[in-house]
Amino acid sequence: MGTKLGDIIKADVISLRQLSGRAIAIDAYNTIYAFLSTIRQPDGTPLMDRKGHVTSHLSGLFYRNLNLLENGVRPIYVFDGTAPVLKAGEVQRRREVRDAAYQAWQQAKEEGRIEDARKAAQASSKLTSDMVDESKGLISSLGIPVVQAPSEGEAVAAQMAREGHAWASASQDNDSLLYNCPRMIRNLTISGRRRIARSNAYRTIEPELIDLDLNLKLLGITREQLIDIAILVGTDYNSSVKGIGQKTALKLVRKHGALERIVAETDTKLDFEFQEIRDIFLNPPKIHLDSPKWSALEPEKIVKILCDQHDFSLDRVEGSMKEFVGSSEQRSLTDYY
Amino acid sequence: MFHATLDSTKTWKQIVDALATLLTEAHFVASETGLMLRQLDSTKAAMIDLTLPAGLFQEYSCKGDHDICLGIDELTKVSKRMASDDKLEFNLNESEQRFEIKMLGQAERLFKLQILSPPEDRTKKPALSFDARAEMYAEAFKQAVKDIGVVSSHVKISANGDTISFTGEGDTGEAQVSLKMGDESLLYELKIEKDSTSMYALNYLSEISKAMSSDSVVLQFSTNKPMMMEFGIAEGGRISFILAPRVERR
Repeated sequence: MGTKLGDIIKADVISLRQLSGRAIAIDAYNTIYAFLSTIRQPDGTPLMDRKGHVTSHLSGLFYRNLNLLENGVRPIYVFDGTAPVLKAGEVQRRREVRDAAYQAWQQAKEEGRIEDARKAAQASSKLTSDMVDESKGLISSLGIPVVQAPSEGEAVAAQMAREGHAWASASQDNDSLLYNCPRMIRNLTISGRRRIARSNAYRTIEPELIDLDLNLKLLGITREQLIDIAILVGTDYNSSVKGIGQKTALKLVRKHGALERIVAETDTKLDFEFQEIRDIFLNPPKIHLDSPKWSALEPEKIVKILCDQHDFSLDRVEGSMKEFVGSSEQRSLTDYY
Repeated sequence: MFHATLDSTKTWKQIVDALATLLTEAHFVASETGLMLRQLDSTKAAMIDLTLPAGLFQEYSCKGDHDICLGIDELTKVSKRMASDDKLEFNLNESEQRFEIKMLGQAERLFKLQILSPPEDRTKKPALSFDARAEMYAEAFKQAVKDIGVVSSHVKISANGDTISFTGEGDTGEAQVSLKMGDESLLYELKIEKDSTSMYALNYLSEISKAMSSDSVVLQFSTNKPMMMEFGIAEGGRISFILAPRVERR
C-alpha cells in the first residue's frame, strides 16, 4: 500500500502530549484497516459479535480515540471517495492478496499453525460498506468530525493541513507527502506495545513526525522530484521499475532532474503514462472545507452502536466513557488569543 | 552588532535554568533596550516571557534587532563550565552565525554556539485579564505545589475572601493548603475582583517553581482561565510564566 520511501525519509519520534491541542487529519481507511488487522486473537480470529459480525474496527476506534482525546489531540477522520481509475490494478491486486490470505488463514488454522494463521489473517482484513457506515457513526458520536473526500483521502488531508484546518495528517502511507502535506504523523493510532511476529518479544511503537520541507531540504530535491522518485519506486498507480530501489531512484532524480530526462539519458524504460500519475499527486480534486468542529460525546448513541448492536460489554463501555468525561482537559494557550 | 558583559555567573545560570524548565530552544531577541524572550513550550500549554533590561548587564550595546536562537542543551552544558568567580562576555558573531560566550577568570575560555534558525513568527502574548491577584512568599508556593503533588497530578487554586487555597484530589485521598492574609502571613497581598477557581497541571507548576529564584511571586488568574506567575530574576530582570488551565470535560 502506498509508496515505500522509508529508506530516504527522516522521521522524528513525537509524544502524544506534544500533539496536544493540535488538529490531526487522520486517513480513516488506513486506520480502520490497521485496527482490523491487529485487533485479533492469537489464531487470527477478529473480534466478533454474537451474529458473527467483525467488530475489531469499532473496538479500535472507540478506545483509541478516547485515548487521543484524553491527550488533547483533536482528530478529524477523512474517508476515501472513488479511487482514481489508474488504481484499478492495485485494487484488484489487493483483492487477490486478501482472498489468498483468507484461504491461507483457514488452512493454517486447520493445521494448527497459529503463527501462520495470525499472519495470514491480518492480510485478509476486509472492510465492507456497512462497516464503513458504522465507523462513521461511531466517530461522529465521539464528537469527532468526519470528512468525505471525493477521491483519495490523503489528498484532502493534505489540503486540510495546507489550509490550516489541521496541523498534520496521520497515515502509515507516505502518499501524504506526495500530496504536499507539510507534516505527516506515522503510528498515531497504532502506537503502544506490539508483539514481534514469531517471538515473545515486544517492541514499543511510538508516533513519528515527518516534516516535508525539512526532508526535501535534506535530500536536496523538490516535491515534484519526490513524486518522480515515488513513481520509479512504485505507487498505487504503477508498479515499480525493475532494479530501481529508493536510493537508486534518489540518485537518478538528483543526477538527471526529472523522469523525462531519466528516460532520455539512461536505459530506464517507463511503460506507462507517468504524467497522469504525477497529475494525481499534483492536482488532486479539491473540496470546500469548513473549519472542523468537535463536540461532546453522545453516550447514548455510542452505547447503541457498541452494546445494543454489537454486544460490547455495557460496563466496560460506560466505564471508559465515565473515566473520560470525569477527567479534565489541558487547554492550550492558543485558545486565549 | 551585539555585545554584553555580566559580572555574575550565578545570574546567568538562573536565567538558563529558568528557560530549561520548559524549552528546548531559546529564542532571544536582542535590541537596544535589552534581551527579550517570549516562547510557548512544545505543548503550547505554557509560555515564558523574559525581559533582561540593558541595565542588568555591566556593559551592553546592541545596534538593530537580532534574533538569537540557541539550543537549551548546549546553553546548559556551557553554563555548567562557568566558575563562580568568572566574568562573562557575550558577543554575536554575525558572519559565522555564532553566539560567543567568553568566561574571564584564571583562564580566558571561549565557547561559540551555533545559532539556530529562528521560528517564522515571534510569539504574541495572549490577551488576558485577571480577577484574582496574590503576592506570596515563593517558598510557600513551592511547598504548596509539593504538598498537593502527594495525592494528585492537578491542583485547584481558589481565591476568595482573604484566602488563597490549593486543593488536590486523587484516587488515594485529598490535600488542601490554605494561606490567609494576616500578620506574619506568607501571603503578602490578595486582591480579588471576583472569587476565582481554576485547575492547573502540577507537572508544569513543579517545573516552573524550580525556576523561582526570587523571594516572592505574584500569581494572577481567573476562573478556568490561564494563570500568570511573575517574579524577579537575575537582579533587575522580570520573568513570567503563563499556564493554560485544565478544564472539566462537559
